[in-house]
Amino acid sequence: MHSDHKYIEALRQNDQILIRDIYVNHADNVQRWVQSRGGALEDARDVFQEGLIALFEKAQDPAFELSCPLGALLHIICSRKFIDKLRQKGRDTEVRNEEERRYTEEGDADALTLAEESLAEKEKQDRLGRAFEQLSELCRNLLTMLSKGLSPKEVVEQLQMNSLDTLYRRKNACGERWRSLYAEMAI
Amino acid sequence: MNEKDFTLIHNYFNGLLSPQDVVMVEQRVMRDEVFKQEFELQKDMEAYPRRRGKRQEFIESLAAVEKEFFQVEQNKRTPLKARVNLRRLIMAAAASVVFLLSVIWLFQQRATPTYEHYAQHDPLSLTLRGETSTAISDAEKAFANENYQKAEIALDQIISTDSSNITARLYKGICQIELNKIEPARATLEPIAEGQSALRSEAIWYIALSYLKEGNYSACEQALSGIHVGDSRSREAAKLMKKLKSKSK
Repeated sequence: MHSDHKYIEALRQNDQILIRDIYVNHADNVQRWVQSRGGALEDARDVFQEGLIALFEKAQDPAFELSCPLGALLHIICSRKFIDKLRQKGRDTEVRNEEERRYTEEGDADALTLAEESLAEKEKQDRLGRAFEQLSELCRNLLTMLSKGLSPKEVVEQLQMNSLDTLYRRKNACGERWRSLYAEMAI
Repeated sequence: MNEKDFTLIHNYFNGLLSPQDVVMVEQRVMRDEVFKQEFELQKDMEAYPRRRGKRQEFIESLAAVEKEFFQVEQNKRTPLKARVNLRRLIMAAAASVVFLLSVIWLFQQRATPTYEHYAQHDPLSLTLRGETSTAISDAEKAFANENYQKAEIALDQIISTDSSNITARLYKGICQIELNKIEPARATLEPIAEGQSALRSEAIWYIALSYLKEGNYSACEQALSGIHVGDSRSREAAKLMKKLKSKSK
């Protein structure tokens, strides 16, 4: 485990003092890197925030242990997010240049794997979120109550359902709808 | 995967399987890749609403911290030409502002502190990167236009789908104060003020302002004492506290 693992714990615990340290130690580097490639300050702020959210999502896996310097990992994640931004803006030449540079510069295999896993986890959570938003209000309430630890009996009472059986049938139907929306978004 | 497999996975997470069936499902996860994928997706779905609240709190923490960074550099990056062109205008404006501030300061030294003077709200920003909804956009627009009634309705809609959205709850409290629904406002803000989120001191500040609006200065002072040095709003709180103390002498 790398000594920077304390920052992963900080993301898990929402420890603002150490989160601030992450900004102190790495925000400038990311900002300089983005601006040196023609990105705006806003772009730098966005990719840094998205990078931290990706790490936060990865950190939700209790088995995750940081095995490389946090700066190296953040750099790869933020540079990937910046390339995505360039792609969205249709700046194809810059995307090609960055992609080429990526293959020669991204040396640390551990950091590369962790970056890809973090970005994939964020993408999955974002997609789950977009699909969840499209569910009915009843589905969202029911799934939220159960996820947050209310007992099935309490949920039946709060949502004025007839029985536990109705609750489970409704929950399964909401889950199926959610799954199908999630799958559609992958296409 | 067939219907029966999905039912098995649902029943596993609903806690409806016998201990033997639980073991059977867990063993199948280890040897059947397709079953494992569906099982893992269901596991993520079960955790998602809880995790979403945690993510929201995390983003709020980032928003509170990131103001300190990036912003400073933005000032440095102001183009030279713009700075030169603006210099005369800034000097003229500064002279006027100094004069005006002196006059205002003289008046304020004697004046009773009022809610209107301190109620300077930060803009409402609930839009996450890549995520938006009609309710969020309605709430942001209405709040920016000081249409607090409409903003409160939109915020209620957001809270009904995500009760852990602390920013939405804080701004709902602010809208309620503006609409003179003082007791409900405090009921909205108190759980945030008692929590550990990045918006804790913001909530205390607005509770204090709600008392100020009612003219209940002692309750206002008491609420302000909950904001500690280093918290956001600590400087405003210290100034208001000083004014309230000098008034009571």
